[in-house]
Amino acid sequence: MKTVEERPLLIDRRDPARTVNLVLMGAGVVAAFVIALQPLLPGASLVFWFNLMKAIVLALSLNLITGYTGYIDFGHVVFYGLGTYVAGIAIGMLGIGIPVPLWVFIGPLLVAAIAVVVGLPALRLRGAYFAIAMLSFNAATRLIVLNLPRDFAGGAFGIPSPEIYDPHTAYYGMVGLLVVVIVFTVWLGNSRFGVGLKSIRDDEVASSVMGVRTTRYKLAAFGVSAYVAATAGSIDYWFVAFTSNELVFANVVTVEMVAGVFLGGAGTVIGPVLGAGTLYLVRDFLWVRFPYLYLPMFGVVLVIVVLWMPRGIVGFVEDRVPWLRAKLK
Amino acid sequence: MEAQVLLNGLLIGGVYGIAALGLGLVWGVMSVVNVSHGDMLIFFAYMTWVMVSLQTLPPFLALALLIPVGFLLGMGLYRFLVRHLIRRSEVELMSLVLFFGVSAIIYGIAAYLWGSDFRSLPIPLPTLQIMGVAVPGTRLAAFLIGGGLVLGLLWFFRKTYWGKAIRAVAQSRDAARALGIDPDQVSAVSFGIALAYAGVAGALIAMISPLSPSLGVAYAGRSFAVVVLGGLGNPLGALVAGIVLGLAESMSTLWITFALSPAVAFVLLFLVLIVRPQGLFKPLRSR
Repeated sequence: MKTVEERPLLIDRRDPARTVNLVLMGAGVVAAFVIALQPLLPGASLVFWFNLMKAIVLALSLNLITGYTGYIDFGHVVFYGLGTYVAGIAIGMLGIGIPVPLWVFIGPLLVAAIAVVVGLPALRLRGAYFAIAMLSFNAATRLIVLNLPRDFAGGAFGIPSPEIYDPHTAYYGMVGLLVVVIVFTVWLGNSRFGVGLKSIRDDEVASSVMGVRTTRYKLAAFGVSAYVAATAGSIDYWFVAFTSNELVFANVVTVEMVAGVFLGGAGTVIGPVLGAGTLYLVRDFLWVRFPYLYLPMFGVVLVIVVLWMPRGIVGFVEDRVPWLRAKLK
Repeated sequence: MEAQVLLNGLLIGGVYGIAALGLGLVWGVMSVVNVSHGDMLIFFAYMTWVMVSLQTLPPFLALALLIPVGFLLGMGLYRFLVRHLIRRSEVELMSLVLFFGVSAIIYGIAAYLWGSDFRSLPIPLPTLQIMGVAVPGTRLAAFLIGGGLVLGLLWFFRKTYWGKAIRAVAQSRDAARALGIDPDQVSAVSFGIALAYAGVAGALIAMISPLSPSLGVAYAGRSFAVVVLGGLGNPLGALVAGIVLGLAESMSTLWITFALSPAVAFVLLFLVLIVRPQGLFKPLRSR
């Protein structure tokens, strides 16, 4: 039987949360304009804004599998790294004829396929075992890529392709990806797919008893999550026209993603954006002044979040400002 | 050639076994997964390096000093961090994130203090020749110390009050409390023992291989492989699994390039997790 769906009005004067909603939407639109206009403004730092967006996209990508599905992934950087290599090998080594702006979105499909193949056995593991399996998957992949033939994957030297260097256009690639990921995550919140994922997170056995095809759902979430991270990697390759083993498989990147997701609030849209954004700003500040402090700082953030605000900024605010609760979910 | 490779694998396997003990003990007793274990091992290895190279202490004295240091650090870590976590639901998942943070802190400090250069200790013992096979004295000593301490822990678990209390808490915190055992105290002691063993293992690592802060990940992978293969907190299982891993790593160098041999632990871990996640030996809590 079909029930009548209740459609909330855009502005409900009795509910202050609506006002917050409008303010947030307005802030989002303004932010989008500012970000989109950056390359045209004189003296603006393209690299700063590009990397800010990249950090947010990566956190949102991890959020799909960790926040919504409840599978903590300590090797997520592997998909970002493979994304840079998919672009690097195809463009820098094999010289395929597909235009770069197209390939940075097609190539990552290969990485998503790898994620599905790996996820098929790995997602049968629970909790710590999955996290560690992925940690080891990243470490093994890094070593294997490092030892591939040099004229295929560049070895320890990496793959430069100076001829595609075009940061202004690549910048808009990242803007596009960021928008798509945010829209996808918002859609996910109330979709059948998203509710299925959250039911897996809360109780996988109960969820499968209720008829959720848990294996398919987990694989789909993992594949999309890997695709997003890999696309961020490919666009990053387009932006800097270089990839190197040591940088793109570094655990530091995973630490940043995990810290961003948990600081903001796992399993929400705005959480990872806030978390990764805040950490990026602090990191940018520390990086110049105390380069060695920034990694321990991420660690301290994680420790504080786990001990004192386990649901992140979003949960922290929710507990104190009850009428915001509905808005931030 | 083959005999030499087998011996190398066997000797280093004893170190892998003791290196993984602390991880398995804490995981088995309080469901806390210390993902920073590898970084802790390397931190202890650097402490050995500092004591031996800068303070000119004999290596084996440095090793002995790390036992009380590790024990106190472990008790402190439990009191200040882990205790707040243990009363919550989802201890395992939250401990993963917590120690992922601790891992970043330790790695960051090690990278700051000792950079990314390799450091190594002067080798204190000569190499012996037995039936045409070179037996490095330091590695042999490391194997004997590691293996001996692992067996010592087995005795501790079976025969002493504290050992039995630790096993009781691993089986059920509530039942242990009903029998008059304080699970909090026992957990603190377990954490202390875990880090004391990590201290010894760190000293042994410093004696047998050059150090770099990034080795932490390799040792985390090895320790997890050993723990999963050998059963959570089972000392004998850890020793056997360590030797299996050591042999697998050293024999792999016969067929694949040396640069890939650290990947063996990761591939083995990945395969074991997928094929037989319950491991080959009984965990601590099942006895």
